Amino acid sequence: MKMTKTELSYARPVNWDELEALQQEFPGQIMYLAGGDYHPRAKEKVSVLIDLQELELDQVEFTEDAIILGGLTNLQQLGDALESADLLEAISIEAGINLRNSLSLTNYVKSSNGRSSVQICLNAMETKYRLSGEEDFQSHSTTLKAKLVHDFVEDIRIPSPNSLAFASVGRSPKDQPVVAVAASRRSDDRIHVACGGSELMWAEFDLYPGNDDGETTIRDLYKDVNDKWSGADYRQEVAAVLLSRCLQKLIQDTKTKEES
Amino acid sequence: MNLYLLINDRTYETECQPTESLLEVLRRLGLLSLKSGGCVRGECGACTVLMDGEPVNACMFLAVQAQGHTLETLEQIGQNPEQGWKKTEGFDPIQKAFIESGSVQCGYCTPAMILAARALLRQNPNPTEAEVREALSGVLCRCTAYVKPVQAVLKAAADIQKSGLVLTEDETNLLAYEPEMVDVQAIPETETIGKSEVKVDAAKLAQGKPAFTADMQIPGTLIAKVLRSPYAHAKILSIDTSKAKALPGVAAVMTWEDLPRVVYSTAGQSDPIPGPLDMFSLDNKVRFVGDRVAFVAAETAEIAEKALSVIDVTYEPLPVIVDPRDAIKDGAIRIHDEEEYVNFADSDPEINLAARIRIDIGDVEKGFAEADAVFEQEYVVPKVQQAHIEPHVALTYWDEDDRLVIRTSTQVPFHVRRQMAPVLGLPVKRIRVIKPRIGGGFGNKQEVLIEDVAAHLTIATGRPVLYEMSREEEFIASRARHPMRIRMKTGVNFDGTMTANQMTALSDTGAYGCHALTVTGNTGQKSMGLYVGDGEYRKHPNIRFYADIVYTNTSPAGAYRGYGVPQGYWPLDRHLDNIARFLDLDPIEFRLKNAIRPGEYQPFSTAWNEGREPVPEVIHTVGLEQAVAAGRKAIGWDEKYGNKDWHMVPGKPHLRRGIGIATVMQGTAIPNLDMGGASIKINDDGSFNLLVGATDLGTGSDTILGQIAAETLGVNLEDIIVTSSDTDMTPFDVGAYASSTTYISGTAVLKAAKEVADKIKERATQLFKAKGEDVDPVNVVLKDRHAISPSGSKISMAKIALDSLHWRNQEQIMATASYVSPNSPPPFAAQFATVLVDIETGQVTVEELIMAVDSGVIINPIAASGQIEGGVAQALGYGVSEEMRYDENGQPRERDLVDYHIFRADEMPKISSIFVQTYEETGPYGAKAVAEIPLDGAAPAIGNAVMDACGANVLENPLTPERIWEALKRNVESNHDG
Repeated sequence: MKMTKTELSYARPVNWDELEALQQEFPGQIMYLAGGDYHPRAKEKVSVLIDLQELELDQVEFTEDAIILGGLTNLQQLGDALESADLLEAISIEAGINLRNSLSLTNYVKSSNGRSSVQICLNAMETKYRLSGEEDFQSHSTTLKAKLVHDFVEDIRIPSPNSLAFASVGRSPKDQPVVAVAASRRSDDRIHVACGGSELMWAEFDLYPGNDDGETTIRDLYKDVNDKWSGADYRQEVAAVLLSRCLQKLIQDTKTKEES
Repeated sequence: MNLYLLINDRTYETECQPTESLLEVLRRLGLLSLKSGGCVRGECGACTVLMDGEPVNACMFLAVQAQGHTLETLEQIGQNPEQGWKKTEGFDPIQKAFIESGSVQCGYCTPAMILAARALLRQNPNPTEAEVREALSGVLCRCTAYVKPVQAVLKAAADIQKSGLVLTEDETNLLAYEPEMVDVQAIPETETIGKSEVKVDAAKLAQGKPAFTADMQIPGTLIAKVLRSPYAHAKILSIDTSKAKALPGVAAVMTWEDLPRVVYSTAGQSDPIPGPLDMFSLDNKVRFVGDRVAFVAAETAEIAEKALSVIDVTYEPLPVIVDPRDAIKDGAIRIHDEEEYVNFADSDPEINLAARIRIDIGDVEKGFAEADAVFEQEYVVPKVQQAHIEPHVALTYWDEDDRLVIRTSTQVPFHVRRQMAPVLGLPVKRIRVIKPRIGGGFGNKQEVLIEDVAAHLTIATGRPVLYEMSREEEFIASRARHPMRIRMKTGVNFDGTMTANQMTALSDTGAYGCHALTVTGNTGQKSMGLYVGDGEYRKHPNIRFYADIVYTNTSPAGAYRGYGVPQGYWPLDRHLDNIARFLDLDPIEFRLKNAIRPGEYQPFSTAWNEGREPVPEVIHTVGLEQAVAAGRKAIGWDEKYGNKDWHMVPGKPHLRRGIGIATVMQGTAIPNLDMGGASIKINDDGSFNLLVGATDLGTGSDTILGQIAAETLGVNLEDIIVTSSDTDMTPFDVGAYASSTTYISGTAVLKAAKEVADKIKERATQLFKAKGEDVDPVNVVLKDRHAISPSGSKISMAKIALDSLHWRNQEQIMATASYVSPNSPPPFAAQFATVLVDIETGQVTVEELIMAVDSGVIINPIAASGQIEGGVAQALGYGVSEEMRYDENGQPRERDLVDYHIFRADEMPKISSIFVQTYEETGPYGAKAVAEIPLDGAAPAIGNAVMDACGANVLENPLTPERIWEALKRNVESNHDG
C-alpha cells in the first residue's frame, strides 16, 4: 500500500487487510474513492481518501443463479454483462458513453433517484447490494443510499433470470423519464415491476400469473405523483400504458424463447 | 503530495492536493485541450480524456485515481504539417476529417469528440453511423447538431481503411460534405467566394491549442467566485464578511458597500443603450434567485468556495413575482425602486414595465371588419437557455503600462470596453479588451455579464483574476430567451387573403431589462413583417404589434440567437397553419399567397426602428417560393401530406406520422446602426493582414471575412492572416449579433480590400510600364496571386509587395474602411419537419428536419450549412425538450444539463440544409445573413407536424409528451361533447 500523508491523506490499499487497517486507524474520517463519481470532492471532517481501485471490485462474475458485479464496475460493464436490449436502452437514456465509462455502480446507486432509468431496471430485476464488510445483501432503499454516503457497495447481485422489459417517456429519446416502468420475469414465474419518473418515487410490486394485469396497482401508485416535471393524471394514464407494453414484451420474449 | 501520471507516453511528476480533480491537474500541467463545461459531473464531456483507451470525463475523477493508468489527450495526436524545415507526420486522419468537413465550429468540444472518435476507431475500424453517434454520445455539442462530426468520423474511418469499408447508401451520402445548392438567379463567377474553404481557425482548434480565455495561465492568478442570492426578492440587511476575509488564501471579499454605485445595463449594445439602466455590479437588494450578493477572490477555487460559505448575509424577504401577468396587476410589488434607475422610452419601473411597444401599420380594425372570418388564439413560448458549452469566463490583469486588460469570452469586445469604463471608474483608453476563441455564445455573450466581477477584484487586489461561471450559474444567473404569452388575431377571407393580422405579446424580461425592448420588437417585426396580405391588402397591409415587457423575480432574459424572432414564429405559424386547416386551404399556398414579395416594403420598416426614427426599406431579394419548392421536394411533401397510409405505422397502431412546414424571415443587421471596420495591409510576400473588430464566436466569420478579402485581392484564403476582436489592435465593430457580421463587417472588408486592390493595381501599372507595357489600372485584374494585364502579362503579388515596401517610392499599401448599412435585407427559409407521435403517451419523436434557406449568395457552403444544422438543432430543443421553469418562490427548476436536456449525438433526427441562392445587391458578393434564421422555423414546423399526425393542437412549446397527451384528451372530450 502507498500512503501519502498531507493535510488530507490518500491511500490505495492493495488488499482487504490493508483496507481494514485503515478503517481501524481512521474511524469516521474516511472518504472512499470508489471509481468515477459526480462532484468528486472530499467532504469536511475527512482525514483520508481511500482509493478502492486495487481491490478487484471491477470484476463481473457469472454464477448459476446470478450475475455479480463489483461495486467499481461501471454502467458500461453492466450493459455488457447483461446483454439486454432494454437495459442497454435504459443505460443509454441514463448516460452518454463517457459517463457510462466513468461512473461506478456504487456511485451510481448512491446518486440515483426516481428518474434514474437504470436503477428502475435494477429494481425490477430484484438486484441486491452488499455493503463493505457486511455479510448480507440488501435491496435498494433510501437506507441503502444514505449508508452509501460514507460506505461503498462491494457486490451487486442480479439474480437470474434477468429477462427485462423497460419503457419510458421523456421529452426526447434520451431524456430522463417522467414516467418509467420496468418489469422482469422471475424464476418463480412472478413478474416484478418497478416504476419511477419522479425524483422521490421508488415503487415496486409483483404480478402473479393469472392474476390482474397490474393496471389498478400502477395507477394507484401514481395517483399523487405530482411534481415539477409532470402531473399525476398524466402519469397514471401513461404508466398503465407502459406497464401493458412491458408485459406484452415479456410475453413475446417468452414465446420467442420457447419457439427457439 | 507527489503525483506521477502517465500521459501521452510520458510520465509527469507533479505536486497536487489529493482533492484536486484530474481535470484541474491536467490543465495545470499544460494539457489545455481538456476544457471545462463548468459542471463537475460529467454532463458535457468537454473534459474527455482517454483512460486506458476509453473515453472518460476528467471532472469525475480525482487526479490521484488516475495514477497507474494510461492517459491520452489530444496533445498527443497529429501535428500541423507546415513547420518550416521540420518534417512532421501531419494531422491525424480524424483531425484532418474534422478540419475538412467543417466539424469545427466554436471548437470547444472538438478535442473531446476527436478523442472519442479515436477510441471508437481503435476498437471498431468500420463503424456504422449509429455506432459513431453512440461513440460521440458522451460529448455535448451546441454548434453542429453532430451532422459534420459524424461525417468526419465516418470519413476518417474510410481514409484509415482506404479499402474494404462497406457503407450503406445513407452513409455514403453522409460523406458528401457540401450542402445542396439551388440558384434562383445568375450568380457571378468567383474564385474563393462560394467555395467551402477550411475555417482559418480549424487547425488550431482540432489540435486543442490553448485558444480560449481560460487557456491563458498567468502565475499568481486569483480565482473569483460569486455569492448568489437564495431568495428571489429580498433586501440585504447586513453582510458579515469577516470570517471569509480571515480565511488563509482569501485575497478579497467585496459587497455592495465596497463598490461605487454605478447604474448600467448589461446589454451589449450601441450607445445609447436602447433599454433601461437598472443594474449595479453589487446592490443592497436581490431580485432573483442567483442575483449577486458578494465577490470573492482567492488562491484556489476551493478556498474561494469555502469563503462564500462563511459569508453571513441577513435578508429581508419580499413578495415574489414569478408570473408576468402578476407583474402588471394593481398593487404588485415594485421590483425596481432604486433612485438611480434610468428610463428608456416607455419603461416605467413603478408598474414593473421595462419596455412597451405599440406599432400600428395600416388600419387593423378595418381589416378585421372586412374579413370573412377572424381567428383568435393565445400561445405561450418558454424561457430557454443558450447552453453554450464554454461557460462565461473572463481573465483580468493590469498590464505593464497599468492598463486593465480584460481577456473575455464575449461577442461584443468594444461594447465591453465602453460599458465597463464607468462601472470600473476607468477611462476607455485605459481598458483593453481581447476576445480569444469563444466556445459558443449564441447571444448570451452579447451580455456584459461577468467582466466587472473579475475587473473589480483585480482593481482591489492588483492581481490577475479569473472568473468562470459554473454550469449552475449559467442556468440561474446568466441570460435566456424571453418567455412570452402571445395572443394572435387574424382576419382572413375564404380565398385565403389575409386582411389584418395582430399580435399582442406579454414578454417577461426577468429581474433586469437587458434587451427587453429590442428582443420583443424583433418578435413582431421579423415574424409579422413576413405576411402582408394579398391583392389590395398587399399594397396597404394591416398589421398591429403591441407588447408589454415586464419585470419578474426570475433570472434575466436577454439575447439568444434569433433575438426574439423564434418567439414570434411559434404563435404566428402555428396560428396560420390552424387557420389553413380550418378553412381547408393548402397550408403552403396560404402562406405564399400572403407573404412579402420582392419590391415591397418590409412593413415594419415604415413604423418601427428600435426606438429610433423609422427608415422605410424595400426588400429586393425574396427566395421564399424557391425555398419552399426545394424543401417540399426534399422532404417528399407531395407524397406524404394528406396521404393517410403514410401517416400510419404498420403493426404499431399507437403511432402516427405527421409532416409540417413553417415559413420564416429574419433580418440582416440593424440598419443605420450596426457598424464594422476593417483594416488591410500587404506583407513582403504578398500576403495580407486583415484586422477586423468583428467577433467570430465559432460561426466562421473570420473565415468568411478572409474569403471576401482574398476574392477582392486575387489571392488565396491562406494568404490572408485574420486578426480579430482586440480593442487595441483592430478597428471598431459592434460585435457578433443581429446576423450582421457577413453583411456589415464583410462590406467593410470589401471596401478596404477594394482600396488596397486599387493601390496594388496602380503599382502594378508602374511595373508593367517599366517592362514597356502601358496599362490602365482599371484594366488590371488581380487573380491567382498576380496582377494581370490585358495582354496576359503577370506580376506576382510578392513582387508588388517588395516593390512597395523596399524598392521604389516606398509605401505601406494598406487601407481601412468601415460600413454602416441603410438596409437590412432579410433571409427567408422554409422549414419542414416529419414526426412520429405515440398517441397513447404523447411522446413525439422528430424524424427529419430540412431547412431550405435563401441567405443570398453563400460565401462558404460548408460553414453556412453548419450554421443551419446547429441552429435547427437548438430550435429542435425549443420545439420539444427545452424549457426553464420556476416555482412559486422563484426557485429555478433547471440548474444543470441533465434536467435541461439538450440533444445528444445518438438521438438526433436527420437534419439537412438546402441553399436557395439569390443575389442581394447590397451585400458583399450578394450575401445576406445565415446564422439566426435556423432558430425560427423548427418549433412551429414540428408543432404543425404533430397536429398533422394526430390532431393535437398544442399551443405552448416545447411539445412535451404531457402537453400532446392533454391536447389529445381535449379532442376526445370535445368529440364526446358533440
